[in-house]
Amino acid sequence: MSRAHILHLDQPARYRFVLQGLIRADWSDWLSDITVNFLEEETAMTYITGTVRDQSALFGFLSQVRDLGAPLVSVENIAEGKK
Amino acid sequence: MAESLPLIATRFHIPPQRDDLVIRPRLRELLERGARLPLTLVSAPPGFGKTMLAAEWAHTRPSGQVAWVSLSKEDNQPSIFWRYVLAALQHAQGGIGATALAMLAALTPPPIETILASAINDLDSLQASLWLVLDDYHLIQQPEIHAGLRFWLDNQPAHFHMVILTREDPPLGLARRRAHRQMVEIRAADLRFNLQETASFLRDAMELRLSPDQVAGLESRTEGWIVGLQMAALSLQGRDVGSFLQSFAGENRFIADYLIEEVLHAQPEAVRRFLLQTSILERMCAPLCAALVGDQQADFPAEGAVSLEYLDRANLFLVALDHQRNWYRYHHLFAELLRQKLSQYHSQAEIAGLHGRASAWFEANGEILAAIQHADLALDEARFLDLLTRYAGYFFTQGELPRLIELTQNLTTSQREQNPVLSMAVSWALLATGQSPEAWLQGIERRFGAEAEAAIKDPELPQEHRYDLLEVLVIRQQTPFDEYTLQTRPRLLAIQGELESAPKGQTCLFNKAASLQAVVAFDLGLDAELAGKADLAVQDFKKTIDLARKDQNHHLLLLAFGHLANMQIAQGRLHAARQTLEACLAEHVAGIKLPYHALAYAGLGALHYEWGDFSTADHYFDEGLPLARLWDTWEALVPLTLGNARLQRRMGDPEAAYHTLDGLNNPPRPELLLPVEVLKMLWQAQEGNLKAALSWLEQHAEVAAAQPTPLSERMLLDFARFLSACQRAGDAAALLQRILDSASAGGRWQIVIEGKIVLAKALVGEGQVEEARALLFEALELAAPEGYSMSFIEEGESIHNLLASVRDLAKPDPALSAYADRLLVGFVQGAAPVGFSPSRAPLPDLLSERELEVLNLVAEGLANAEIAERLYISVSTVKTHTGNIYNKLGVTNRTQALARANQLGLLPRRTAPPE
Repeated sequence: MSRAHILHLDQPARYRFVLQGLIRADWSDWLSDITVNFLEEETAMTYITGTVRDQSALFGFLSQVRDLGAPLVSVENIAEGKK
Repeated sequence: MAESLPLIATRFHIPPQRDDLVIRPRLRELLERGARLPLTLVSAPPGFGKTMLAAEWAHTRPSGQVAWVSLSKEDNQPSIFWRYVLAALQHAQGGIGATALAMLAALTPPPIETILASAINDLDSLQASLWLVLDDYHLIQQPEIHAGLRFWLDNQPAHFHMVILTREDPPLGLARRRAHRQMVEIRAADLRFNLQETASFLRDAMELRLSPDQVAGLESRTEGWIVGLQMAALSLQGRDVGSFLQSFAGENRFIADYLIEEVLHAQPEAVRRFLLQTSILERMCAPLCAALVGDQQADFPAEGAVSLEYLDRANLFLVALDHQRNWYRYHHLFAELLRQKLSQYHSQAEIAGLHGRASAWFEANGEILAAIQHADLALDEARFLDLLTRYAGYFFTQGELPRLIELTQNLTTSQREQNPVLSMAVSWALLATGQSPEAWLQGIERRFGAEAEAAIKDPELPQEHRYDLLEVLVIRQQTPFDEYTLQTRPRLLAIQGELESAPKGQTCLFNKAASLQAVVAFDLGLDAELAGKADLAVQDFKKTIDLARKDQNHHLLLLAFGHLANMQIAQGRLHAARQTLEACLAEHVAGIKLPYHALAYAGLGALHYEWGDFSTADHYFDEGLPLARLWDTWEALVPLTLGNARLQRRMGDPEAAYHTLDGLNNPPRPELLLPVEVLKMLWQAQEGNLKAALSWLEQHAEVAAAQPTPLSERMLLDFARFLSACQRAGDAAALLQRILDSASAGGRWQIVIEGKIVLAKALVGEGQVEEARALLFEALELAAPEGYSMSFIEEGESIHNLLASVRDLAKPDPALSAYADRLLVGFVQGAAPVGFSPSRAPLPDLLSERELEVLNLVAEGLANAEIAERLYISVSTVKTHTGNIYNKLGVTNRTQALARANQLGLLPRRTAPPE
């Protein structure tokens, strides 16, 4: 992954989250332009890609993941526009 | 309740305005727009001036229009959170949420949505707009609180507006509200200072003279982050601007960490120490700071007051918490940064020492919760437990039980065993919040090396342990009532006996023996009630009322009033019940009407209806129904609805009556609606709609075969009326006979009287007029002293004729024949004649309840010794009672007494079964 762009507290940013388990939930309070993919192998995983409008929205999303009890595997900032 | 909230009042204060504010019209405009919508969300990381912005706006509103809550991490529990919110609303607008607060404090609170609906209901009646600001909402993480707030947002009236300040977006259905344009968002991108605002902030608030280039450099390095700018400005004071900016620009460390060091570095040593040491406080005042920092500083004013003023003047992130400027806190982010530095520079022991001093200061100043929290942070286990033990009562008087449970939930087994008083306090708190205290109780038993049973079984047990363990027995007795068994009463009596023998003022473990006596008296009453022994229950509940009043236990007092009245009504003692219910209504806790009062309204309405006083009955139903709905109290809702519908029908508005019955929906258990359906079907049958009635009967045929219980008798009586109306007189008579047997065995005379009247009517229909006449006359004799009327009148023509035909039998007794005459007039008028009964004093009781009880047992053929055993009294007491009975009846032996009692209708008479 290249660190081609700098993040700001008050700016939108695109992230990919990997959660363990198949999690179907409404994330639209925190993310826009969302794609969700499921991987059902030995360990089922949920891949969510979406744009947070700023860092407060990101932390709201993470709290929601915690409240659902879904183990968080990774959070990765990715380039704008990537799916 | 409401006035005794220990909630920290500073948390309802809108933070005072600073006079050096940067005026920000674009944000003001955003806020104004949001203030007209249901929700304004101010969501941004710390240090962006969220609180300052909202406070500045709030000060532009007339006082009382903005309710403010500064949340803390201890509020992350529904009952605590909502108490703060409701108290804040009350603080702004007196009266709002008073009932909801009482509901939260109730022993078994209704569901949270019921509580919130009550507060929202209060809001509806407000004339002016009201805003609620929830600051630091990110500290709230409990899903139930979010759910409650979503409910609130979806139901709040149009003139109510919510403003939420948070570091992270809460799960409140934001996407939907955004899409429907029901909220305005103010986010980091809006809050950050632009170049112009940066310039005016540095110039006006921080009094720095900087070149436009220098301003632009700071703005770009801090990205308009307000706390960053302020810290940079503080670091700049008295330094060479150019060199600072150069090193700041080239600094790669995390900006906040870099800046806090710069800020501290720029301060004199004493101020630096003061900042670090006081950073452990969530709020501070001058004397508290002085206690914490001590007299270590020579070159710095020794008085804490001067220090706080200094910090305030120096812009060192102090937020005033009240208008008198007694209490302050640091800006949250600044405090967090200071605490990081504190733990870098000072040992854990030193920091614990600071918490210890804070704990001592808070205790000395009566702030128990803060004292306990700091003792915990001081890692001073002994002091933590000692404070909890000494101040356990505080949590009860202040309604802070959830907090007591939370503070003690991580205590180890040995800590529990070593602190039995605290264990007992926690046990009561758990019980009151619907959780099991058993683990804690067993800890107490291990501590004393004895099972609690020893308190009533082991004469060798040391006396001081006996009282301690008795409390364990009392609390174990507070199990669900369906676990009451035949052994319950003797056990309760044994416990009560020990409690009564305690020296005056004796404390058991946590409660006084006298307080526990009231609780056990109530348990005895419940036991008797469940066993269908109305007379015994009446005695027990009366004793409970005496004891609870002395002990100032209002909830128990109200509860006992309700149960006593129920028992008196069951006994047919309507006037006594009326007095009890009126006393219940007169008893308030902080002026709040509780579910007990709804039950009292239901009872009083039914009594006045029976007496034919329809306008008074109507008044009581009108008062009771909204209250029962508010609290979602089905025990009151069902009788109030039935009573109200009966009254409407009697007043000639059957449509309204059906409408009232249909309005009762969504019961927590479906069988609660059975009495309502039965009444509806009874009316259908009476109105000639036999087809509907019979098809319903087919589906509910099993009810006709039911064995009556004290709780189902009233419904079954209506069902028997329904069977009669469906021309199933035989089935009706059989059911009525079972009802009469069960009710007379339990001394529930009201049911007996009504049952006899209904049975008489059924027998007339079967052509058994003689038996019917005898039954009706018995009912008349039983009913006369308490002035029953509608129970006769509602049965209509055939009972009217039958009564006219037994009128002559009453002739020898002038009072009885006058009563029969008044009833006959009532039949013609369709209601009891005016002035019929309530104003008339009841006939004095011939025999006391206890004497009646003894007499009943005599009638069963029991010997004195057997009676003594049955009633748990001595043989000589039985003899005293029988002596009194003989005197009052003017007889000299048992046989004569029974004959006379039968004549007077004092004993339940077995009715001849229908042929």
